[in-house]
Amino acid sequence: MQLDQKTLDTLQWLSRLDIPENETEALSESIAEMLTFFQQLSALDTEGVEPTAHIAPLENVLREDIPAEDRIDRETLLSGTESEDGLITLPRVIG
Amino acid sequence: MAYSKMNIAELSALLQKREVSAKELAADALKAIAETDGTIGAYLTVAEEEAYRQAEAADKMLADGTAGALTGIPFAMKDNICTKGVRTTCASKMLEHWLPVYDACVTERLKAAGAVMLGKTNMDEYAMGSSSENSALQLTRNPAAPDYVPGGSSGGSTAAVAADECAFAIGSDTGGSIRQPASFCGVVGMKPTYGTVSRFGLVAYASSFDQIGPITKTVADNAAVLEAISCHDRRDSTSLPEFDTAYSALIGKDLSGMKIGLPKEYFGEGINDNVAALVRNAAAKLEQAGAVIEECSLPAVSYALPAYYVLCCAEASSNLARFDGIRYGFRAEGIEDLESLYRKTRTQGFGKEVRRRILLGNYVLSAGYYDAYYKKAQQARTLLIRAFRELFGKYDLLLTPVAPTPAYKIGEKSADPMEMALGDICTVPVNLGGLPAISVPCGKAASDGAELPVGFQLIGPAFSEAKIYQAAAAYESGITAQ
Repeated sequence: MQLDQKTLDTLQWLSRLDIPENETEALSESIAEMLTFFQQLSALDTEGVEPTAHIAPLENVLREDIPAEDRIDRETLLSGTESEDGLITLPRVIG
Repeated sequence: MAYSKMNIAELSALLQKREVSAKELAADALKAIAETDGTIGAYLTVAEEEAYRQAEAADKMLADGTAGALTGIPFAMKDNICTKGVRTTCASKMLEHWLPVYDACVTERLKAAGAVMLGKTNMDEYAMGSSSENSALQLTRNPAAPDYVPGGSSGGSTAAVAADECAFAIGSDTGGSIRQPASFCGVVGMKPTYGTVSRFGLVAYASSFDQIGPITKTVADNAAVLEAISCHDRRDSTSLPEFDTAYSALIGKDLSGMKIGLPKEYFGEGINDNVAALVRNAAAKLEQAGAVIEECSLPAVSYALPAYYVLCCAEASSNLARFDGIRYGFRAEGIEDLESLYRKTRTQGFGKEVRRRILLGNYVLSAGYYDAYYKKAQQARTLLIRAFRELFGKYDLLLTPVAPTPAYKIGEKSADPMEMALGDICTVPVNLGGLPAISVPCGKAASDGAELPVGFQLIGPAFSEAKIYQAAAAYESGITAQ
């Protein structure tokens, strides 16, 4: 089984990455193999079973709206990015 | 004195008696790394200056009487845990030069305890893999047999402990990434109950599974490290508010009254005969220590692996969306517009396996497939949790192998990600259930002239760490019930 080109194109777009040409065949086969493996789940009777998204009893964590003491300053936050005058620089967004 | 060969308890006793200083221990450990790591490749970064700075602070704590069990003890940190000012790469080109501007909660806790960080350890890129061969930066070898993998994804951390390049290490476990390499390298590795160690500052892979835990030479050391790093942390929304952290409390007691189940599905097809035999030997020793051992059944494990891979790829595709070429250092060159900045950076910055999991995750989450894959896997997760709950109504703990085989040769499985994934069968059910489980060395299996370590796994219900350590320590010391 292999994925068709249209599916591969959609996946690359959703993932914001390109599959290099020399990897396309192997990667497509490998993804298809995993999807076949996943289909084992279809044999499972899950009628009326609640899905578990998370094991922990998740609740909203709230606090007073007071600035925290451990805030990281702007200059530190920008380290490791391309920046100018305290702002992140990007290529043009609108064509 | 061969300090590097000693465990935490032994080193701590020497430090408390002032027979050695934290600075001397740091120097000794750094010397051991310099001598050994050229062959092993456990460390991606050796933080010598940082280590001496922390050792100096530890010596002050020892002098003014504020020292604890980990003060002055040299350790290694997996490279997906943030360390302020020390690069944190996730063994990826994407983060190769990234310097975190803050410490992870675990890093803060260990610093506060006076432990001395020697450096950051190799791993599968973004913790995606089971042999550490998916590292984009370095190859790590198994200290027990250099032609073999150390396991993964925390393979650098377990190799560093096994090669006496630190007294303990910190790893993370999403589907077995602490326990499996601990088994392959012959050290003790614990994946604690989900929510008991803060994930603040852990680079997220699959957030509903990821959990940080200790890797040590002995069971008692392991409990001591977990006691130091486990806490509630308001910065992690999944950190549990209240739980008992007296993990060492039952160590030394025999196992009278303890019931341990052996799920037969873990000893069937696909499990190497040597591994099964060594785990059954461990069961006999636990019985001598007073436990009642019974065979039981957990048929739900049969769908744990597909459910796990659906969910972890889905979560990974979302978590790794943040690596966009804008905020974390690596940016592809010669870019003209934003869309190609994202695509080119992510294509060049991520390795093959990371790209594969992101693509798979986006597939199972996309319109038309969500119910068939993602929701179905979440329902399978519910069924598995119920099955565990039922078994823990009858048994205190479950005993299983950690992995179907001992370590395999470097390159043997790296071309076949499916075969690699099948090796996670014994460990992933624990992560799906958010349960604690430990890997404890239980002997060696001969393979092709090499003697390869094998571990057993003890799984317990949530918050049963003290009981797990009790049983593991009883095995380790060979205690006999009266």
